[in-house]
Amino acid sequence: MADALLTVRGITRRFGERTVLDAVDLDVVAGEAVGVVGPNGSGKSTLLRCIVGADQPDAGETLLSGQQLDERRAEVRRDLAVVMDDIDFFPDLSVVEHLDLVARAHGQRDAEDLVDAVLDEVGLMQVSGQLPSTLSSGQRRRLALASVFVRPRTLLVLDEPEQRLDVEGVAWLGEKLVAEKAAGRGIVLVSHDPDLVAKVCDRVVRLGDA
Amino acid sequence: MATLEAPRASELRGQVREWRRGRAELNYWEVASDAYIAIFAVVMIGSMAGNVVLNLRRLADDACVGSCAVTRELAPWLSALAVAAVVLGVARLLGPVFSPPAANVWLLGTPVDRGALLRPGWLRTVAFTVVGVVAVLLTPAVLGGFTPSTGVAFVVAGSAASLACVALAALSQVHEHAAARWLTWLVTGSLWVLLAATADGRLDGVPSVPTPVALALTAAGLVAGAVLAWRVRGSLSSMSRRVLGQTENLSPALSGALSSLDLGLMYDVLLARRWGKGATVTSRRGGPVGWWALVHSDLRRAVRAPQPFVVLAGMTLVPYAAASADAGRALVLATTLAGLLAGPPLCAGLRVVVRTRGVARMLPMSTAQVRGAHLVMPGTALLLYALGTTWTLLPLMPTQEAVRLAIACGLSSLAATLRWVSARPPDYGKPMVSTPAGAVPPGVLSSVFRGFDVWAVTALPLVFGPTGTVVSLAISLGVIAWLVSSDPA
Repeated sequence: MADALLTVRGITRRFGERTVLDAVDLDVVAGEAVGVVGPNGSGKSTLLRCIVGADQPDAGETLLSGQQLDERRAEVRRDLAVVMDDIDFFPDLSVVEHLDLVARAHGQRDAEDLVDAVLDEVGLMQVSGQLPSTLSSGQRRRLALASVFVRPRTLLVLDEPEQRLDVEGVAWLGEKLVAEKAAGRGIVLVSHDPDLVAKVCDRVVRLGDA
Repeated sequence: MATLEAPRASELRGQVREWRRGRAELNYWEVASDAYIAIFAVVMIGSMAGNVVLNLRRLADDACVGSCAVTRELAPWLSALAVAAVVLGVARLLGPVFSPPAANVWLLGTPVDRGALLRPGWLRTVAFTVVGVVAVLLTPAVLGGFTPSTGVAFVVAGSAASLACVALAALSQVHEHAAARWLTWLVTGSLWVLLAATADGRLDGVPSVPTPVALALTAAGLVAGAVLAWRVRGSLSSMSRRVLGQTENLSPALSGALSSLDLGLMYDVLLARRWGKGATVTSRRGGPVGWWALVHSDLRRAVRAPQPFVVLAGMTLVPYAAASADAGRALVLATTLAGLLAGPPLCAGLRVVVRTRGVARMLPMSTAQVRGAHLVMPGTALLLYALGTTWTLLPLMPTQEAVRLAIACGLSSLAATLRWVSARPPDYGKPMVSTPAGAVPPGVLSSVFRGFDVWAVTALPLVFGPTGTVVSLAISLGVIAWLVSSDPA
């Protein structure tokens, strides 16, 4: 097996007496997509939150390219593209400005062209001047996903990215993630959509089967 | 890993500022006009308040002798400790380092220097702490009878101490250390001990300190505050998103509630925050059935989170301190006000059935029965608190009358608390009222005084002898009966 891009070892998370994650191991190599599936409450999102540093595991460690994954380090933030469920928006910035901001914050020199291309791809060009409050929930989800593709990335961590997307949107997402894999990026995908998991993922980790 | 070419935070801020400037709704003239009105209002209200404080100072200079003078001397130090405790509590609640959720999602995940992104917010917190505490401590400094130079030193030292507390809270937030919690206990404990000593009459004044020593202590406080604030500034880049995420939603939610002056919503936000922190509780089952099941649930809640009841018990010292200052019968104002301030946190169960009809609709009881059940625990606690202050009244009247007055105090606090907790949110569906600040829903401005209105009409009669006690009892019982039985729709 090639050197792992993401290495998760022994992640354990307890809420009171209940152990949600019990010494979970996970490896993702470049160009590979790993699906994390399981019933509600099985700890899928908790695992992702522990991986990206949004939650503190009770035990275990996460390595990105062999180094401790500490999201406080700028170089880790450059490589790690995350879409979780807790997305929020600036109420006074338009769709295109949100993406422009992310692209520029990542130092993308061709930010405008890149943002335009991604806007077109995710189908938000028509609403690019609108404020987030005027978007539908599906359009907001597309905006959150678009933020991943206007920036550099080596590992994508996605928590149910298909949520609130229409059928065409899910199909586009599948194609896009396959292309991301082909470009040598790693993907950790939590999803309740078996078709999306089957299309994108090379391996599947099932949680909550104890 | 990829080479890093992140832009500076100031460049991003400039970009966002440029976008925002393009959609400004006010021109410079309108901004200047608004600023003029705001400054004029601050100056006018400030001068009125200043005039009142100066008159009170003259009154205190003429009338305050004996034990009153001792309490007056201690009052500024009690105020400074209370302000430090409140500032520390608020700082820990909100962060004190925080950034809005949108900024966390869209900016903190980028390689831009995190410290530079968080620094402006921290500097605003520092400025707000210093200016706010100076403004608050001016009144006790003037009323405490300080000379101008001592007063300035007191205000500066108090402000620096509060800044040091906030900075220490920020450092323990960054490093996830429990120091801020211990400091809160220390400050609150010191306040309680000083209050107890004042109430007990053990202190015969503040120990006199030579002016150079006082100035040196003030300077040391200033340096400590500045150094700690500077250290926070330097450690912001090591702040984790997880820690920021713990408070990210709180300040927007609270500021949203504050912008509509919806204090009830603020209470709900804080309540949700309080219980959102714990992952699990030890479940307890069983107990009585029917109406008593609701009372039992409040009892269980009190056992699970006794802090509000402990605070209420601690508040008993306030009337004792007022009694030691020879407040006479007017000490009932302190008793009832302290009861009102400590009352709302006792009413977590009541608040849930008051704010929406959803829970009450599920129960096979009338609205009045449901509310009445959830009033049993806070009502009992407030009555016990008030009865605990009976000894402050014994030097002024016979035992029977003192007990009656204490009960009236408890009911006054309960009525005012119930009024506060059952406040309805502003109705934006109704026609707006035109004000200099723009259109506002009817009743939104008076909502700030809700609870205090009932306190005024029930507590003031208590000052005027046995007849006033009867009047107050009648009003309190009437208000409680009306608020318990009125339909929230």
